[in-house]
Amino acid sequence: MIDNEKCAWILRDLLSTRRLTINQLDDGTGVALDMAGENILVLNEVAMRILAVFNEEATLDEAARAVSLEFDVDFERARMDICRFAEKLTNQIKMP
Amino acid sequence: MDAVFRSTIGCDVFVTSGKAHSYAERHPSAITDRQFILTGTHRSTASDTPEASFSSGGGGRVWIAEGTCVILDADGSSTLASREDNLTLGREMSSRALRIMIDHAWSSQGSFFLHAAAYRVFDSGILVLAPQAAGKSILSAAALAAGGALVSDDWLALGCPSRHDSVGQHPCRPVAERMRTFFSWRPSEATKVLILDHLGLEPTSAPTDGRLIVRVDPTKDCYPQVTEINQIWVLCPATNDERCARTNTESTSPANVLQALIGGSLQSMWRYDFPQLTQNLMRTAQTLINTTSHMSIKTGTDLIHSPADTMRKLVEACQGGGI
Repeated sequence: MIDNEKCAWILRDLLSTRRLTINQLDDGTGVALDMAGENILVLNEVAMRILAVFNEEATLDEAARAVSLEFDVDFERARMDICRFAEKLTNQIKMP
Repeated sequence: MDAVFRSTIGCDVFVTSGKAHSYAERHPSAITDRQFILTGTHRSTASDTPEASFSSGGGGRVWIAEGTCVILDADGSSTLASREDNLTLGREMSSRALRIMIDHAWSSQGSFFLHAAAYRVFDSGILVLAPQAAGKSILSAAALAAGGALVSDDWLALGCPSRHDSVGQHPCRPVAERMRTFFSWRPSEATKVLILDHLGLEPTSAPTDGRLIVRVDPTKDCYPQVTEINQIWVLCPATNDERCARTNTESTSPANVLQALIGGSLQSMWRYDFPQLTQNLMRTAQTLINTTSHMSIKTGTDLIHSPADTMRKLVEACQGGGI
């Protein structure tokens, strides 16, 4: 799995470079449009929340705290899930 | 005006010569918010970059620089052409260039072109979203064979039916509208059974790819121009080789429907470059998702052998249950 520093950087970079466009539905789920990679990814509520937190330039710990509070999981688990999500996203959209 | 493209759900798009456009610019009140003027001239720059523009009565102008698009002013009439397929406005809507420009104009009302099929069968309006070769054509033919009414088997416009209901001000129930005057099916065993044997239609054969072309007869009830949408079916790809005997259904999430909607439309419209347009389209998508039931389907050969029974089961499955 990618390390903590790198996963936070990946998520912030995807959003700040506008590689992904996020379209959200009323139920909190949504899709990420990756024109460069010709991908349209389905995102659940947790994934959408993680991206929203990183869009406000949060650190990994701040994002993990937000996810932990909102989805009732412990802090370490939230941190791990965020990094797993970053890794999955990296693989799906073929980051350089 | 040299040509007008009218739709009941999008705004009217007028294609003009430079002279008419100049008149419209001097008299902007002559153009309503639901009308767009599309104009342009061929530019002989060093790179020969084709360029076109359109402007609305509401003010503002959007410039389009699209690699395949060029509008020629010749003999006082505007002709839209592209490098890929020479297209004259008034013929079938097949040009990507024209789609892009009309899509931009329509999106201000939350309407957009969609690669999808739509029909009415067993009192339900069905929108079928699918990638290429997923079985959309077989379902369309099966819908006709089951006594249904086919709006479109390939490209359609999706949006609000009333010209007075602007998106965001008055929630609307989105409808699908036919954009072509023909249906076309890839030649296959399935289309032979359904189109030729079962329905007894007499299609012509397209010279380029051998597709079976059936002209729409607007006087027939089985070819309505528009349908309301009650159900959305998202097709999973299934080639003829691996097609099961029985059509299978599964539940699908709103996000999966949105993914299919974006996948079947001009994707750049949903990107951060056009936030206002994207917001309008998202409102239409959200309304569509909220007001319909949806499921995913993998088509089987039962659609060919017993289209009416299978279509009835599919409609009932989407209303609740599954098959």
